[in-house]
Amino acid sequence: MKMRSPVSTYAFVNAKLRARISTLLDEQFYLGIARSRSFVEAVGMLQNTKYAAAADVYTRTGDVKLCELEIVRLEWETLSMLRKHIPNAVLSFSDAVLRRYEIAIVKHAVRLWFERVIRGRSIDDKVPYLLRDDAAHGIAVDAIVNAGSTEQITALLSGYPYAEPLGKRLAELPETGSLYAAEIALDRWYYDQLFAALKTLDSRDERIARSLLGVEIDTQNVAWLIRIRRYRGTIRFEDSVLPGGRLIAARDLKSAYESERPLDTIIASLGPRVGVLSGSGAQEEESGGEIRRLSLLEEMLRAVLDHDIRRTLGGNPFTIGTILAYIMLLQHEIQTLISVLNAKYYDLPSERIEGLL
Amino acid sequence: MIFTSEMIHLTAIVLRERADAVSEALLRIGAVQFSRLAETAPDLGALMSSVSVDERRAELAETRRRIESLLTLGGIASPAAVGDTPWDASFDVAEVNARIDRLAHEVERFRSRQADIQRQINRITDVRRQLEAFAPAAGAGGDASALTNNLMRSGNHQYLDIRYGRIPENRLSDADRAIAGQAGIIMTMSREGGDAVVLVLAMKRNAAEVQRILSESGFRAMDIPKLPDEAGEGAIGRADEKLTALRAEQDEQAANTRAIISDRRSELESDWRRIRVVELMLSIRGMTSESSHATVLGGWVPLRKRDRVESVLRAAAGEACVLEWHTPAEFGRESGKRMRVPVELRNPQFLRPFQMLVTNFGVPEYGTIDPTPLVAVAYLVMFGLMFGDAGHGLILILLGLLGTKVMKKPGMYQLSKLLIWCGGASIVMGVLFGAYFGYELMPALWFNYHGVVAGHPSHGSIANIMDILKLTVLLGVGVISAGLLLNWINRIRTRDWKALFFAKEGVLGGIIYGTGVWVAYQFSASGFRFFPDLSVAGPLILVPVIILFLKFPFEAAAAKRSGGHGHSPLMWIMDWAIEMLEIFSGYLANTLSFMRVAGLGIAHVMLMVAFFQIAEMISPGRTSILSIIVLLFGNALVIALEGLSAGIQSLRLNYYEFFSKYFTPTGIEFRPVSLETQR
Repeated sequence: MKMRSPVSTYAFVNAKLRARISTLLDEQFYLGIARSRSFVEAVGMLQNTKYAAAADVYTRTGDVKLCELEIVRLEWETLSMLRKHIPNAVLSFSDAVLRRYEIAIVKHAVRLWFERVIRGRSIDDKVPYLLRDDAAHGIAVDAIVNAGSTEQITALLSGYPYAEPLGKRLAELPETGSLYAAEIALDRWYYDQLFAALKTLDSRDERIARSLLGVEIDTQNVAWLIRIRRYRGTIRFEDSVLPGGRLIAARDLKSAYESERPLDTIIASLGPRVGVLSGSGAQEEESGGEIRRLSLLEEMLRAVLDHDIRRTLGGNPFTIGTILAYIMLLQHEIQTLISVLNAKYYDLPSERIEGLL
Repeated sequence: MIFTSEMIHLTAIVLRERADAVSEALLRIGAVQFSRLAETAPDLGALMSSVSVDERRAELAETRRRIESLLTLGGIASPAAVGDTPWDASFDVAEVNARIDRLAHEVERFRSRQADIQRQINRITDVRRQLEAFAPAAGAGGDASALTNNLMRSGNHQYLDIRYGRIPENRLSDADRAIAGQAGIIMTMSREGGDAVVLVLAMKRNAAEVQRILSESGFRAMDIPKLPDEAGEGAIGRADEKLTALRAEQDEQAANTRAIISDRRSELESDWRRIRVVELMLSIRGMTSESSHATVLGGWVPLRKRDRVESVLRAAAGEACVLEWHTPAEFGRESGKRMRVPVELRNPQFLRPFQMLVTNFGVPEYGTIDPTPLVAVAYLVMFGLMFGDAGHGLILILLGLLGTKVMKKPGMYQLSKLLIWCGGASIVMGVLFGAYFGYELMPALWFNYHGVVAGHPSHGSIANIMDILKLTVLLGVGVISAGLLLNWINRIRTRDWKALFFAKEGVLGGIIYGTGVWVAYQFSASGFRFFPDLSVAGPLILVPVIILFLKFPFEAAAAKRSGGHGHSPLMWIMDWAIEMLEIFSGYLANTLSFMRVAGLGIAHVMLMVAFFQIAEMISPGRTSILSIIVLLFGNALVIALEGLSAGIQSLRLNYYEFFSKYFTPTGIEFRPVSLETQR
């Protein structure tokens, strides 16, 4: 079969996505939400955006969580609609990327089950905020939430690729008492199938995708390694990080994993580009400075990713880069919007919210 | 109307205590586009301090946005203008914000109540979702007893906690409320001796809590019987009933929100107007400069409004003022550089749709031709030639009239009016072509377009398709020539003598184009066999070409005289060659581009012919419902597709073939600060 040229493959979707990228919310919008004097006014700002349906949900129900759910549903709907514009040559890769929604739904359902069965807490007020419908692709999310045992969950997921990675880790739950291993197993599976799908792309597309995904993986590895220190020992290093990071080498991650100060180890491995974060000692760590430095590091990685996304968009338009950049930008927009709305809902001072941006 | 309005610059020095009164007076007449003193008199500007208003304006803008947001929540559009709202010097924005805070708080109270109801809705929805899984048909909601029996029989209700028993009737409603709080519902099956026989459905995960509530309510469990089909209320129906009631309650809260905002509507709108007036006043004050006793303000005014502005200003200043008026030319003489003078396009209301087309391209340079009336003529002639059908024109007029009633946004409103104009052009040309929804209901007054395209014998000036093409090329020559002429007028008015003669749209370019047109005409008249005698045409082309080359050495010499670097002779030749290419191929392409007018017109006719043929094939020699449907669909399709194409192509020809000859879109729009100023 004759290979299509990159121009004919990407011309249409590139034009379509660039038009959509121009409609993404800008920082001024978030600042407007942060500075609004009440939550009602903050949500009101969504009225003239593509998230007007979420504002309507809040106006009708007064329920901020349903408003958030609607935003996520709109995100999923946008990306599902996008699928019909994706060229066939890269469809398997983009489908692999979009699997993260299914995984997020499975994680959410399992977390609710964990809350109910393992922690013995009521989840009545959390169940309604599960994303169901088409996004779940037939996964019996309610059955998972109401399952009596981990075996039942695994059985309910039979026929889905998540049964295998999840089942093994859920079986260990009584020993570990934490969902961390199960969740990271799902994430590992996600990136494994994503990297497998990368091989269906041509070499240039593969390079671009690896580069963008690499920073995303770095960000996730950093967050996991720092936050789950207490589970060290219950989970092997190889099972606790995601392969494929770009800025942080596997050996540095391993050193961080074994270190008493993983954040310092990672910052040191990143070298002079994060100089502003280095030099903070144990004293600061004890006084909560570690969280601040961690969020600064995450911000720095986000800045690298943003820079890469902009560079990709400013470069050759006929590559997978535009598609991936759009998906990443949209996901970042949703995360930021939900964070800012939540911060507003919990009445954080506007200066602090602005600091989150 | 044919040229941009003449403008004059005002500099006014007034007493500082009169500055607000003067600003308000100028705001009310809305005839001044204010400028900073530093722009027009830098020396004087440096001696005075500017008035700082940014912080206050930001605060006001924020408060105005809050009001707009609340009005939107109430389903009310924000006011479009401030009307005759007076300026309130003592306006306290903090007080307005406090009022808005109270209102927002009230709204949040309703939202909080809505959220409480939503929690109940969420729980019942959860149970309903489980029940639905056991319904005879998913989503059926009606056949309750069948559902209940189904539930009982299946034994597969692993997530549902199901109980059957008796509750004293006087404790039923309390139990019902409490169970609803645990994602459950109580169905009353029958009533016996002061007790209600009930079926309780809840989520199994809440079984312990349900048990506690039922025990406290005096619930006595019974064996679950096989229920008769007609017994009891439907479980899903009961859940739906509850959901409907809760949603109604929620809607009521939402309506309450709208009602409280609606109650404060006049107050909010009044605040909005007061804020807007202060914002506008600050936008004027922000452009002024002050010394300890005097305030200086200045700006551009249309010359015809000079007297009115002066009298209003003197009255507001109590005659204690100094006024200076300067024309743009005087500024130029004093400063040695050309001022950026704002441009006012002054056209009658009925030409506004065409002014919109012009400003969409750009604002003309100050002092040059305002192309609006010319665009109106050119656009409509082109559109009519491409879309000449009186019936289709009538539909466009009706759509345009509907648009003017429905469309609120100024741009869409003007677009609707443009549609009316286009419809009128189509009717005129349709009558000239004898085309009425593709039929020749009346004989053509000029030529039968359908007949000519279909190859029917025709007499008169347009007898075949070639004649139609020639007609449109002639139209192109006319439009381009008009464009060149307008350019020369513009260059004379702006005293740009070099561009008048040496630019490719200048006189020399025009001579080359005119000669080319004459040669082409003679060649065509000879049946495309002979070129005319070139003893006249040759020099008419060669001399301008040589003169256009000679301008490069002159330019280089002038550049060197003024201390710059002139281009090398090789560059002269390169520049000249490119310019010649642009003149010869550019003018040819521009002229032939007008053949699209014929192309679109012919396509319009052929599409109609195609639909007539399809209708004829469906019902040969007679009219049937199906053939009528085909013709209706065909007309609708032609109106939509061809109407859009003709509109776009007319615009394109105006922008790229007409405007490119004379229109310099470097002007800045005149935006006086007035009570009508939009945000």
